[in-house]
Amino acid sequence: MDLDAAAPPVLVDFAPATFLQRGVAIGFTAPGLAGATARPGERTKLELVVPNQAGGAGVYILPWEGVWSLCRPTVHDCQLIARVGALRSITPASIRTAARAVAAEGLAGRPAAHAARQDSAAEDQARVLVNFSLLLELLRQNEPRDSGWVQPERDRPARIEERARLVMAVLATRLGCRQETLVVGLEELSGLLCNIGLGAQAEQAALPRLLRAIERLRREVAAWAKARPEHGSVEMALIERCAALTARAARSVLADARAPVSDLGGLLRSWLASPTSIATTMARPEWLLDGWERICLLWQETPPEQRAFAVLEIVPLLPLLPAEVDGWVAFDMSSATEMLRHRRVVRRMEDWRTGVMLADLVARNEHVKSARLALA
Amino acid sequence: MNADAGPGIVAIAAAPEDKFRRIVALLDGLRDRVVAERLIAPARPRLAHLRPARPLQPTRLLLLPVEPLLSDTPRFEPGAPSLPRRAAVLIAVAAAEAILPPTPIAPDDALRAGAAIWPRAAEWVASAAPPAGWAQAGFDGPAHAAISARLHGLLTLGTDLLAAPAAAEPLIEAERLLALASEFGEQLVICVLALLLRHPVMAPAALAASETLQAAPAVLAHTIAALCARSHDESPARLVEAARALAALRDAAPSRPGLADAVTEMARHCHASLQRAAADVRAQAETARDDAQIAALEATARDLSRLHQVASHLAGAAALAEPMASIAAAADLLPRPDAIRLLEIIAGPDAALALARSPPR
Repeated sequence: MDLDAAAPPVLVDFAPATFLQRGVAIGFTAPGLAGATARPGERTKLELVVPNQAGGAGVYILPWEGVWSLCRPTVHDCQLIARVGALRSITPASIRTAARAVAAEGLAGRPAAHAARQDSAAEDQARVLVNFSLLLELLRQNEPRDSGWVQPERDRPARIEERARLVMAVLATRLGCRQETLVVGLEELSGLLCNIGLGAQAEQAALPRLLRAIERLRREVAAWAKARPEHGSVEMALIERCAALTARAARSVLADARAPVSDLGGLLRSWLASPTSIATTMARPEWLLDGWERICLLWQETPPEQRAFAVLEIVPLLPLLPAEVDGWVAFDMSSATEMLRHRRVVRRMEDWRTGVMLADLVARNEHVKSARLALA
Repeated sequence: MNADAGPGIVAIAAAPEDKFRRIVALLDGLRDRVVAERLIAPARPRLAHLRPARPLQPTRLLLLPVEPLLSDTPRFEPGAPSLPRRAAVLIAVAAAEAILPPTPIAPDDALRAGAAIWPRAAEWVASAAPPAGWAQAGFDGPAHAAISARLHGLLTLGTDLLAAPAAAEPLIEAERLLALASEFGEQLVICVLALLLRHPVMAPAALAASETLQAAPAVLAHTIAALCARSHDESPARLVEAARALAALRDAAPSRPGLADAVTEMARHCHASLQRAAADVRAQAETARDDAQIAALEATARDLSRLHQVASHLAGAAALAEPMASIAAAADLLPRPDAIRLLEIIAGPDAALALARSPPR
């Protein structure tokens, strides 16, 4: 597709084969960019994919610099556009880091800045915790279990360090690498696993929490639809079905991502030999759940009496499920893919006099950036 | 201020708070409600501010549904959505003596107690002769007929009027009440509309689009006048509602009589409100440093931005450029990210982006 930054945007049918083709959700605050994703371009470095804001089928695909032909971004969005434009790779993690850096500047408001800084700190802390969990697991799996063996989590920190050095030395010899290489390998794996979660605290990690939020959204939308049959049952059924399928798939890919940890020696060997395939498997949960946090927060932060409008806003944001997902899970996801491709919402009572103005929507989007998922 | 109030009575309004509350309690205990209401009149603004818990004497209970319409004007103005307090009290005292026991009602019970008496009072008022002291108070026979008719309609709808803002669908309930009011005549529709518009849940734009109002051009003219009349002292947030309502009316029927003048007047109010706000925003920006203060400043700025948007629709953006520029200038007083955001809210992303890309001072 030939993309001209100055050309008026044209709606196109969109059936991405892979998650990378679908793009990564970008948390813009301008209402006109709701649900936009970034993806590597065919002819330009980056492309922007924006859902049809009128509620019909199709998307706009624009060159990264062509966003101004679609709408007027906020200052926050302009900074985000510049920062994402400079990224070397487009992944949920790289976009998340860029988005937090921009929000931390305060351009989406002070609450969003605080939230971004807290999220970065929480992710750093999660990485340290997962690194420690991996270390304990390494000891459990590789130490000889003689009569004096002590569960590592019950040992003193100094002793754990000493035991780890010994295990690393043995493992490094077995794998034919330096001990430092193993330490770095564990740290890199910690980065991949920190949002997936490990061990006793696994359910507190970011992605399992998001999964619970999606399940909660599904339950609440179902209950809401039952109580108010007059409000767009087709749209609510679509949200409910997509949430259910996504949650089911997420449970599966989260389990797949954690599975290699049961043989840490083997995992480290594979990581040193060919990190890409492991990184790909471990990145699947965040690709699959990308875009859902905003949906859950929109629902959560909308007062009950206004949720009919939230439903109409959420339907265009539901992330498309590319065919690639069929290779990730052992069940058929094609029905959701088809439903999402042909989604259409009928907007009612939409008028500037109903009180919702552009500035209000920007403020609401900024609020969503600062909000936290409620614990299920 | 009440012209009849003597210096001692006027002094009530300036009494220390505890003394003021005691005096009001004393006056609330007076059997003669006509005298009591006359004595309380100078203190009404302070009463509205302090809102002391007051027992509902039968007369006050009877007038509860129309209380917001009671004015201290000495004459009845047939075209205005109001009732002279003195006249209403005279009628209510007579009605209370005729149909009610003289027992005060607990304020919590008002709606239940009122539901039992307002329909009876409405019937009584419709057929009663002018009460004692009517002519001495400066009212004539035609005024009695008109005021009684108005009270009759409003008391008939009394329970529903008070309950409407809390209804599950307040705007649908409001439309129903307007339709019921139209059976009593256009003047009553105007009064009901004025009562409904006092509640934040009753969006003026939605009410202005009601079928009852659209079917009655004279009522609409009053709606417009009422919207404009009250807009001079409204907060920007409430003024937005009034301006939106007017814009809705203009868009629906631009040639409606009186509309052009109303639009001009509303635009003037909006301009004045934005001008006043410029000083407030500057004062806020001078001291705002913590998160809560900045959030409050941004909330104010959003109200002004909404007002600017609606007022531009009425009068054109050029007319509002000067007050908006004054408001935007307050950004100079803020730390850089907050300044960029204030400018974005007030002047839009282009102006804010220019500041963001300029070298820090």
